[in-house]
Amino acid sequence: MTLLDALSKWAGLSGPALIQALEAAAAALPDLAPTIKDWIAKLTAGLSPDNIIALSGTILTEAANVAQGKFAGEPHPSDLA
Amino acid sequence: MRALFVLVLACALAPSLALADEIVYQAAVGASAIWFDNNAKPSDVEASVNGSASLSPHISAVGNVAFGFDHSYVTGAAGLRFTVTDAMDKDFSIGLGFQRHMSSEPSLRPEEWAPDVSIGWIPWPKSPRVSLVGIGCYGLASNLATATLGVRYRFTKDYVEAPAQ
Repeated sequence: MTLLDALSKWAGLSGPALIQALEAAAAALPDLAPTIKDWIAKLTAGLSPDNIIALSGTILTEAANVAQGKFAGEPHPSDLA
Repeated sequence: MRALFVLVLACALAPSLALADEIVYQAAVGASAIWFDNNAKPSDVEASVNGSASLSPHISAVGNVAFGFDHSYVTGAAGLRFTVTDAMDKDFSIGLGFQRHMSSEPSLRPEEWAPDVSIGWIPWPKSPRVSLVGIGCYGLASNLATATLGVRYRFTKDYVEAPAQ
């Protein structure tokens, strides 16, 4: 299984669970609904095959850098989920 | 249970290891609600400690330990997460990850490998330590999906852009 295959499979398995939860949250919190719908749109775009294909190339390059001890981290709020 | 002990020990020792400056470390305490698809397992409210080490703009090592209040269990997870949105956006991101889950009560929270999709948002940029998060997980052994929504308070330092030379 290639990295691209793995990423695509992971997105297909776990993405719907989060989208369902966000849709339920949007229904329960009308004030936040526009924001949550924006998140769902970004989530759908982020997990799209085109984005994952582009991402897999970037990740392989970055993984090679990490393997050589070249780090360049960035803070991401989703890392603390 | 032994794997959970190893995870807790690793989390405790990690800060004392020699660490590269270019790796971005974050740690937070949080509270979350978790539930399973079709109520296959009981829902719960968890308190957690979450940590991450961003190795590159899109690659991070992540881990957490959580306690479920309703059913008195301890869970832990550790793995990798890849950021699939703008890696330079410090206020919003979406991650695609793969983690090993461990549990003190496997009948309630299965021990297995699970891919996940996570979302994180800092709603008030003036208070960058507070974030809202969500995560969807799919257990490869149990074939069960879980969803978690919660809030995190990051207690590690803020990262600021280095001034141009």
